Amino acid sequence: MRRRAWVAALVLLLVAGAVYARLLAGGPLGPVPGGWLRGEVVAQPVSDWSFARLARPLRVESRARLLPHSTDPWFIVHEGRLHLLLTGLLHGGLLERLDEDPRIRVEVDGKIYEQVAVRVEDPAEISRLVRPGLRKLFAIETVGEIRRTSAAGAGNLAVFRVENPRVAGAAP
Amino acid sequence: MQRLIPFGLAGIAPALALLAVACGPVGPIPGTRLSGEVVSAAVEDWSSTRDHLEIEVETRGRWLPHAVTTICMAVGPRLYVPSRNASEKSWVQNVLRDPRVRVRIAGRIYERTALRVTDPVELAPIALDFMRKYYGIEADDATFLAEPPAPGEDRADLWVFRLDPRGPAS
Repeated sequence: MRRRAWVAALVLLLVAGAVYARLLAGGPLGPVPGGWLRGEVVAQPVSDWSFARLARPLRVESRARLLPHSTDPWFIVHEGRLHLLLTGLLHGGLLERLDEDPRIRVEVDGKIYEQVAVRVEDPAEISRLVRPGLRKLFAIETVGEIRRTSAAGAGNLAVFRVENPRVAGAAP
Repeated sequence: MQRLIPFGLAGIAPALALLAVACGPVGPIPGTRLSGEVVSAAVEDWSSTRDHLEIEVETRGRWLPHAVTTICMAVGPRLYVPSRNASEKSWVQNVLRDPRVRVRIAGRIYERTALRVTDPVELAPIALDFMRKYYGIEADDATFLAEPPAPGEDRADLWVFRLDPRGPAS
């Protein structure tokens, strides 16, 4: 009987924690995805993302499904443009949602930027973007062109360019 | 709504802590002692870890074992684990204090000694294995930068540990 009470209490606490994380926390809790991002919405289009280069964290929210999903993705700012480097192992939830709806909200220093995420497909561009990404995120210095291997795995990398909705031609 | 926030915090913390203490690390939440069958035979080839994206490493904390979920790379008979922003990680501090670790892979425990690798020649194949395994990408050559980032340099301070077999007296 006492054991059942402990299990019930644990389940209740987990549910309370999950509700808090998804509805009330105002963003991800460390590695646990959150819900709505809070902050002042910036209406001006962003032409240079260099100000976000040292942002810790930079947060991204997708509203592709019923509940919003926010997380701290890996990112780089390259030549003034913001790019997200996502892998299924760590960012599977966001990856799936971006394929359904590219509209995102990006939070930098408490300000919200409404953008769209456009998947980068060109191998040469991916190589150009991944090289500084590997250096920034994992201190890896590479030589030569970066190519996809033939083996597909959970960790396969996806690169998204963050653009103003009007530039990307998506619905606002 | 503000009144509800402390209840949410109060809810998530003990529940996750209880789970972690009971079961080892739960995803990103650290745990304590890892349980499982201890493997004493030597491992000549770690290539089977290619199928395991995540493993668990137990270090010796000041008071309790401290176990974390992490990733691993294998180069022949050698197994490696990396740590991003290593100086901020509790498990890395534990390893620096006491390098004895226990590694759990597929439910089996391997007792090892963690040794930091800084030799670029040894780091090169590890970096390539990391890129292939976790990102599905490759390059002509690659290596981890062992030196810390320069002041103002926007890059991770990444350390790599080799998990060597323990000596008989350890």
